[in-house]
Amino acid sequence: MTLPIQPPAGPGALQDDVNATPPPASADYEVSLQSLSQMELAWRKFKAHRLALIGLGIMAVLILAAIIGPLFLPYAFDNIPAVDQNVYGGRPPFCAAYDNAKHVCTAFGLVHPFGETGGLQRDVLTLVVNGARVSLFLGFTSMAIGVIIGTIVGAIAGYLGGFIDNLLMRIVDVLLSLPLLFVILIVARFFQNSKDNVWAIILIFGFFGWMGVSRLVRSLFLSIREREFVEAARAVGVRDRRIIFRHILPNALSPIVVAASLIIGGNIIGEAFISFLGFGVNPTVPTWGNVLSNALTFILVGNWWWPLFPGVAIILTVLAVNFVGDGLRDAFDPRSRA
Amino acid sequence: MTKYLLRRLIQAIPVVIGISIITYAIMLSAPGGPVERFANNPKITNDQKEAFKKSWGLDQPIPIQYCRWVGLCDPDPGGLALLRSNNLPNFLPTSLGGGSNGILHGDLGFSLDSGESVSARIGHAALPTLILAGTALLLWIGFAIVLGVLAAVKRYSFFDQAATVFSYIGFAMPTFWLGIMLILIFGVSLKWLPISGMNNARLSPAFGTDQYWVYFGQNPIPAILDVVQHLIMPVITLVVVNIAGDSRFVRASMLEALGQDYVRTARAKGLPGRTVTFRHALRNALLPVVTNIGLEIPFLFSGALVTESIFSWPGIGRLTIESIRAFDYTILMGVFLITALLVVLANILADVLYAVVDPRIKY
Repeated sequence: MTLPIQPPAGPGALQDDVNATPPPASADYEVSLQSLSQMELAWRKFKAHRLALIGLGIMAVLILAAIIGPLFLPYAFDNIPAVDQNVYGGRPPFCAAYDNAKHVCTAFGLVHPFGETGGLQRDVLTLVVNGARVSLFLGFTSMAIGVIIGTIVGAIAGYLGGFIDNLLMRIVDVLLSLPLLFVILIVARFFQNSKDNVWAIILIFGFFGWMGVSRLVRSLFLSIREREFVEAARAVGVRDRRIIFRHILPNALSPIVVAASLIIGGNIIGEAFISFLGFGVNPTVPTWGNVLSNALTFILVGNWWWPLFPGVAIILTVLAVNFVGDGLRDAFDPRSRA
Repeated sequence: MTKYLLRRLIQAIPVVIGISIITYAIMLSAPGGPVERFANNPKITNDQKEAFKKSWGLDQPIPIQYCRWVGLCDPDPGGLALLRSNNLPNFLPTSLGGGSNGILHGDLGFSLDSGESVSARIGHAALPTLILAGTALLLWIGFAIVLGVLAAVKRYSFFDQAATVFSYIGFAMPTFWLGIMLILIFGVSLKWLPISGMNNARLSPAFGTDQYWVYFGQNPIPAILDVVQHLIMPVITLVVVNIAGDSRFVRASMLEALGQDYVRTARAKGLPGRTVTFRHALRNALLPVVTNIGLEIPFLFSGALVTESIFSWPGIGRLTIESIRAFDYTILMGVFLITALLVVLANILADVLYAVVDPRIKY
């Protein structure tokens, strides 16, 4: 005799949890429960966070545009067209022909959907898309460097404690009480004249962006190292390095990921900031900050489209990573339920 | 309390020493230092270079240079001279027989670029920064408290959601971009507001000069109105960007206060909602806000960096940017040290303030 096993009635969400399999005819009936891994649980909560999904979507679009966009655009960012002397101040978006004397657009078209810059008359869309390549790459890479340094320093300080902890945290105190923006500007100034200084800027943001993470990781390690499973690991003779990286770190990972997502946005704004002041990425490389910086030279002409679009790109990116960060925070928080 | 304050001050000493060492190290490792600057002239011979080094004490070992820069060592006898010729330690105040050189005696050195004293340059730039940052700070704290409290009281209402969206965007917006867009809209297109500087050059001499103060004494009202006009856009830029974070902070703190037992008790007693919100909840909610503001003040000293340089506001932010451009390290070191000291002091002040406004906290 076999009993038909019903999937549990009730709200649909439960069906994900309990996957009832019909019993095989030959054997005794058994219920197999499909358990969800931590990642699956987190993803389910993340999906419930609407803004986070939107953020993820925006990020996907921006990254895709950065990777394949330049291949499809008809202009290269460093291609300088034959400059039409009549169009000194550039052309507004969707303007195919511009009457410079009357400052009106005489014909509309899809030629430059984001408009055209003044001076060298470059396509703003091309600049923004190419800028996304550098700016996004810079944001993510410098975040990774900062998070890795911060995690290592915080892990050592929190795990070992004592004198080393004190020393490392005093160094963090000193670095945090410096006006970091100044330091970054001054250090960036050293690399200002090199032709390809993107990596220099990435390293600068990495090396000056780890202190917050190290404080966070240290506090996590301080609490986790007292837990029983760490004691158990130590009791069976696991070496310190293995305890730090295999036992404690995975348990501290979720707050680190959340902090990391917020650093990306900060670094993208930071890059734009120092490039805008002229100390950042070499002006020949299109980044959002450099495009904005160039826009300032033509500001009196009143071409609003030039600074508008790179700025909107920065805002969208930072909004997106912050939304994703919020979503991750909720997803990893064991107290929140989805 | 006194004991706590004393302990904090003593704990701050290693941090301050660390800051001064880092500041000094930055200057040392920087290209284009004073000697290079001096040797820029192709007619300078090696002998002259050596003489220059000697006369400025740059031939000494680095620890001694640092010691003199701080003001612990007397530069005159040469070598490491902690004691002066009158056998008193050099770090004592000048009036007590100590030396007159170094940070300890308020001597920040001279600008490499213009030769003026660093304290004078910073002093000149301090007033414009104070005007801009002070106005902005007052406005943004006011707005942040009003927005945060309203959003907390009407939680999940349309207003709350709008405030949330606003602060998300404010977080994501680069300050300088907002400045550019304001200049484009209100300065270039509408021509309502002046786009740069602190006063109209056609009306009055440059701000801060002696002639300006003479003009100011003669017609104070047009002078003030002129400055106010120039102040509007930079202040808006600073306020919009900074409200975002602070209003969230006030909202969170207010929500926590509104959920406390004493608020429920006050409501249960039948007190009117307004009294409960403002007398009971708000006063407690503002405690963390007070400390947060304390921590923000030092960054106002340097924080208006971009805003000042976009709007050509002659303050410390612009002085800093110009000094970085010109490799004028002595000025940078001065700005640096003062900012870092302010951060350290503000941290202590914030903690002390917290204990003062919240009687539950005992140190």
